[in-house]
Amino acid sequence: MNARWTVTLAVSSLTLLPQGVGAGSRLSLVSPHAQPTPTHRASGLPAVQVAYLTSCGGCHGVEGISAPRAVPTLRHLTGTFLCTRQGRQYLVRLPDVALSVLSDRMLTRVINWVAFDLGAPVAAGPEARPYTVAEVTQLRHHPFTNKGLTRYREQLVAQFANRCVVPAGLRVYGAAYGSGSWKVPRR
Amino acid sequence: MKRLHVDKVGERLTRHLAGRLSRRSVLARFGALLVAAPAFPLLPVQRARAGDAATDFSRAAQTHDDSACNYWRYCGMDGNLCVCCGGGPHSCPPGSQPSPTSWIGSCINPDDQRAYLVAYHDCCGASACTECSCTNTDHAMPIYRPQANNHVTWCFGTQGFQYHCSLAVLVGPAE
Amino acid sequence: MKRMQSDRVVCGVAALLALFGVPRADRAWCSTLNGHGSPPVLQSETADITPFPGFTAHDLAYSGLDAVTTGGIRIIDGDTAKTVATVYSSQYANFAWAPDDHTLYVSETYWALGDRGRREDVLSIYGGPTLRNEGEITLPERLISDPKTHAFALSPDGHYGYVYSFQPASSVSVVDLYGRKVITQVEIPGCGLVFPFGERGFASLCADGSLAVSDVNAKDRYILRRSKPFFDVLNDPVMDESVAESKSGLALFVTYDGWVHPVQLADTPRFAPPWSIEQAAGLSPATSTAGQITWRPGGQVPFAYERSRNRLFVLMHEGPPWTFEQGGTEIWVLDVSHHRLLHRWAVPQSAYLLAVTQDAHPLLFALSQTWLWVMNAESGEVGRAAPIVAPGMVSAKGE
Repeated sequence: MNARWTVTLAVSSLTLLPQGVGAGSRLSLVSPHAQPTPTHRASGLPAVQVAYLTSCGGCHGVEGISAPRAVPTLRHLTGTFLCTRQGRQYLVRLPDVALSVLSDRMLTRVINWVAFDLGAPVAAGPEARPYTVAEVTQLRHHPFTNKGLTRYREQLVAQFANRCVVPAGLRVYGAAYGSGSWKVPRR
Repeated sequence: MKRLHVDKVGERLTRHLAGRLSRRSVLARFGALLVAAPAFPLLPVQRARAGDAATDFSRAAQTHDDSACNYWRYCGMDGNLCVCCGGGPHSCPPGSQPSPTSWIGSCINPDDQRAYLVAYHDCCGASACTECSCTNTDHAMPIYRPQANNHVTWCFGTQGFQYHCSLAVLVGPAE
Repeated sequence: MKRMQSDRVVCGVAALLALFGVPRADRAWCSTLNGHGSPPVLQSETADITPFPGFTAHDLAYSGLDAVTTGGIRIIDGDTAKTVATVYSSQYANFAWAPDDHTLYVSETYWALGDRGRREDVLSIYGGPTLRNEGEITLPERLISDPKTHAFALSPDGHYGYVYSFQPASSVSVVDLYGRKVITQVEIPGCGLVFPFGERGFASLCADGSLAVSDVNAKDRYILRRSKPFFDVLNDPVMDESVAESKSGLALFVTYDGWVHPVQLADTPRFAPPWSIEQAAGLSPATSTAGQITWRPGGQVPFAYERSRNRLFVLMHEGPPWTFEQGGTEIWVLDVSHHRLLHRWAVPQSAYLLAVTQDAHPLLFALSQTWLWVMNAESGEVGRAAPIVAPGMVSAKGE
């Protein structure tokens, strides 16, 4: 893996890698050169992480860090949404989460893992308690529709500022990749 | 240009869709015609236990030549192999840069019959490498399911947006 | 030009200078250089532009496949299989015919420095008596991907354009083509592509196997509604290049295993029971079980639909599951009304793209990476063949 973008694993709780496979602290599972096939039987990734990786990890990044302006960073940030009740609901009611093809039980595990492990915040907010399956099941029945998600996210983050520690990284997402000269039409 | 692994589910579990979708459609009338719900993805470990891990791709795959399209971890590789453009299976060739975004699939290693998660990253910002073009679509999904789509130009967050070649970065065994 | 004599070049330059108002630049220089001051040669021809009579019912347009060839949208007259016009396009471009027979829209992306620097997403307009560029509409953003027919489409009357964007958040830019401006951007989280219907509506396919329908309400605001899943997205998803007919609102979403899901697109979509292409041919339905070798749809643009006769043309190949990009060795002609196979036509080489004209004497176009075959859509007879550059997207006039 390219050293320029390989992120070192500083947090021990982030156990994306099976023991004995990730050499050193880097995510690279493989040496930079020949590694045609794994040679020893490593233990597999936990099911919750497999679910995260195949459902979310492509865009959001294997370690929860991606292209931060285009894709919200999860690492150390997602848990910050557990500052208010709305923020707590937001994480489940996002259509890509609520309408994912994961079962209620697995979705609950993935959300808890993202909120408390991968995205564990610097400081826990007032709503920082694990989601129950019943709660996730109920919330995912009400995915956001016609909400204006990018703007709603901005509003939520603004609300957090009065009550919780809001890392600067939470405000990076949303700077568009699109046209330099396009202006939002005024209605 | 890439793809993901999901499974044949013996018994289809029904998702609790009721109530969270539009009620206004004529779905009630045609409800019986619809597939009740998508099957849950069966995790690779379950599939392996069920003895049906192999796919048509993995049955013909090899584990020694990473410059050939049938190299085991290229099961979802729909693009040009970076190995043939001056890079490696997980290293972009000089002059290009990997996008932090990717899509993640799983490929079965024929040596141990285990499924491994593979992150297909595009290398971007150099003119197109036209070497070793592969069209592997094992469990690749359409573009409206981008988690497993290899037609998206995955060049978000890189200096240049030009597609150069594709990597198959091993993430880990999925079981 | 390269072989021009140098003194003639200088004369030409001098003449040009004269054109731009440099006083007495021409004669003095030329006489000096030519020595004997011979009179200027009268041109018997002038460089001009072939008039563009407008698109005809037998026209085919295709874009070059990025990474294999240069961009550009090429127009071919199906009756002669010859190129009649070409318009410029960026890489990753998409295009759509306007209903007026004179205008072609190109949805495309430029960066100030080739692939980096300031990015501009635009909808370029080509038309008029010479198919010139007539300006562009700046878009907020758009999808950059392998060619996708349904990433850009027009409302049936040509008033609105819909541009799908993936950043990776999903949205659709709604463009007023008459007013030449983007009206709004509709978020379609978890969904992709655009299948227009009615005056202002468009449908999209979603990652859970459902359909999202966006249309304006009484207050002129877009409202999105999602159906229940109508296909099994993980095991047998419908293809991106399924066919949809905006005028009637009929969509035929076809799965990897060859199940056709007819959907009447509307604010309240109607889902008809799926039927199997293989069953229509008297075979067992294809499944996604490993090892099952059977006939399956596949290619880049494996389907074409002819409205008046309600016929679906499909590129078919024999192979295992998950081979939906493999080229077709045969074209199957299906009667959509009765779910019946009418013909199986062999193609000269594996074909990857199909298109069919919508007139009384329809032509069927089959394209490989290097050849175009023009066929009679009723008999299957190959009338003409022509070499082409590797095609990305294809569309016959009226499709």
